Amino acid sequence: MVDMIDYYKELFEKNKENLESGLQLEQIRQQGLKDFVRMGFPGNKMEKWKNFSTKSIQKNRYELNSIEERTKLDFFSKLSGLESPNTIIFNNGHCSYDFQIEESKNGVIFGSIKAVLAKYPEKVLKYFNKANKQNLNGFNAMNSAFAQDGFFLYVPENIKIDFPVLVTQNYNIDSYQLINNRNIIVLEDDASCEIVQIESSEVGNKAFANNITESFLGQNAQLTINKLQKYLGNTIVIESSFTKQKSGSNYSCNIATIGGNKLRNDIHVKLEGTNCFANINGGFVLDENNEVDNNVYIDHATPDCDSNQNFKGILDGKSKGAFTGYVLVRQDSQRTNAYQSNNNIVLSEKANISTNPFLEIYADDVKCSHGASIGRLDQNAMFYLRARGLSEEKSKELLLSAFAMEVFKDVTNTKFKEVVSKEIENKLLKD
Amino acid sequence: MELIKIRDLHVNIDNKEILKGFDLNINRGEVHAIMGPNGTGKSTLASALVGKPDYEVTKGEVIFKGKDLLEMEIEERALEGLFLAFQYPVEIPGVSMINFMKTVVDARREYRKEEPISPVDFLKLVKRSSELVGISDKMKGRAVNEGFSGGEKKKNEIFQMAMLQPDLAILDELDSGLDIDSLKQVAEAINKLRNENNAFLIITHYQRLLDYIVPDFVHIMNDGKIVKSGDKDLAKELESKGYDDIMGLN
Repeated sequence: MVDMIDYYKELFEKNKENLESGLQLEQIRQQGLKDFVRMGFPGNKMEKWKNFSTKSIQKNRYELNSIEERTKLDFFSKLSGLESPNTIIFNNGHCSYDFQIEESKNGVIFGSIKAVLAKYPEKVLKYFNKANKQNLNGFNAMNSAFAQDGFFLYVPENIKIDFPVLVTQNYNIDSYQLINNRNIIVLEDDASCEIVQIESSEVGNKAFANNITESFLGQNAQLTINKLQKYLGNTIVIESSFTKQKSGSNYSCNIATIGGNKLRNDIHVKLEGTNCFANINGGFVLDENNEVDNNVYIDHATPDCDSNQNFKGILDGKSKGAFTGYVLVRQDSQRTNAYQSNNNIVLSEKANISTNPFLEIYADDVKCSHGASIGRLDQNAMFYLRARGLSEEKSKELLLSAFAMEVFKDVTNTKFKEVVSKEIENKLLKD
Repeated sequence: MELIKIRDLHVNIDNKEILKGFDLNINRGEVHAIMGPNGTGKSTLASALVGKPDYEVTKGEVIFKGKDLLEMEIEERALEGLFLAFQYPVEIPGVSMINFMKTVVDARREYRKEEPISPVDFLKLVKRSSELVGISDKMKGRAVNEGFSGGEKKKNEIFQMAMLQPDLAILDELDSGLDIDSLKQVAEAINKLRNENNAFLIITHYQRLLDYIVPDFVHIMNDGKIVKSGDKDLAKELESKGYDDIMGLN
């Protein structure tokens, strides 16, 4: 597929000016392109990509998306209760027209990364590609070369943002467009905030989104990301996140995935200070030809940290799901607690789930556990519910919904949970 | 007035015949007790009546409220007013008791073409039923049966029965897992729920439960059918003489 790599080299040259426009990312972009040319597209023979074929991405000649959608989408009728005074809306990767940057008196900066880069380049450049240091794979490198927009959130020391910040992203382009969003979240020492991300696409969408989120948690900082992914149509999405945690910080990431033609979540967490906690949870409900690949990499680089991964999947139709959980406990990372769990319910003969735990442990005083299961609906429970008068369909929906929602038991945002629960219910009843 | 009529019921599990021609009539307002040694088909009767999968009816008929019960789906039987208090209630992780009950109550109302219950009426019903059975608020907030003790699970069955007010309640080994105080409390609740329109079928090994819930009829089952019927004194006789004697096996 050398010709496709040449194609992206040309695409880069062709859009050079457009990409630059004073964003001071030249070096990062050049390095990104170089890394992309060197690494190319990951192939199925690579262990980390065996559950995610990139062929359909290589097949198309994606254009760099410059179609800026100015209209505000009517999200809020669908998301009752999630409205926030801190909201940023993206359409096809571009920040909506009427919101660019917001600065509050206490020093919080929130806005389009493009706008923040133009106004405070040093604030952004201090963090850009500092968590995604090596451009781990071709797609990460591609994002570094082509990143156009995204959101930037800076929370100064000791500041707690009271309302959850809402970020919505919707894809709806009927041509092959490439979207590379770059999001950066910075929480200084003792800062805290919650971000609710709603990601969606429409049935006719053909855009491919390859996004990166870099997060930096200062000492004792607390970051919660509650994310709902609901991609319709032929949308292809690769979402990579890189999070670095300083001592005492707490990172909680909860992802609800409702379908998705072809979706990959790569979640990298590096615990760089002692007494950190990373809590990564995901629930995915798939049917028809949905394909979702979840990958979590947790690097216990320091002693006395805890991490937890809990993923649950429900698979129907011909859907394909995967969970891969890596835990690396380095030699000096004594007194590490790392737990990992992936349970799945497979409802059809043709659905497929692959679950892969990887524990790499070099320290000797650690508690690590992993568990995985693939099962079917509990028939005794079904009988019990039906014997009380619930229809077969309702009983099934109740049991499956409860199964998937269990991963979100620690989520304190009840509005988010309500929206997710409703989405899961709708997806299950559709079958 | 006749509530249920069971005629010549034969039931197989895994191709093995367990019920071998079971007959019983229950009228509204009556309490029947079925006793008998282990493995005679008492629980099979309960399971077959509520429609548990794998319980294959090979012969016979069951008419419930004038309708063919065996033709109905599991949920239809429940919606028609049949209730089984399970011997081993099932844990349903993640489904809260309250949501479960609200869903079930509304399913019944929908079946009867009634509007969903109002939140106020629902809470009143919950309060009345839980006080009657003696279950705590804490239990109501938890997932259905999850982490409940054996006794709590049994109380929860009767709580659900009080909520749903079925025409016919089958109580399968209600006394197992209940301590004596809980047993008295649950029995008292059942006595309060007894009226001229409903009926109870109590399945038990022991006379003990029948000291608190006094049956109108006692039947002794052996090898898949009723071998002897009588009034409440039959249970006492059984307790003193044992099954073999009563059934004339000695």
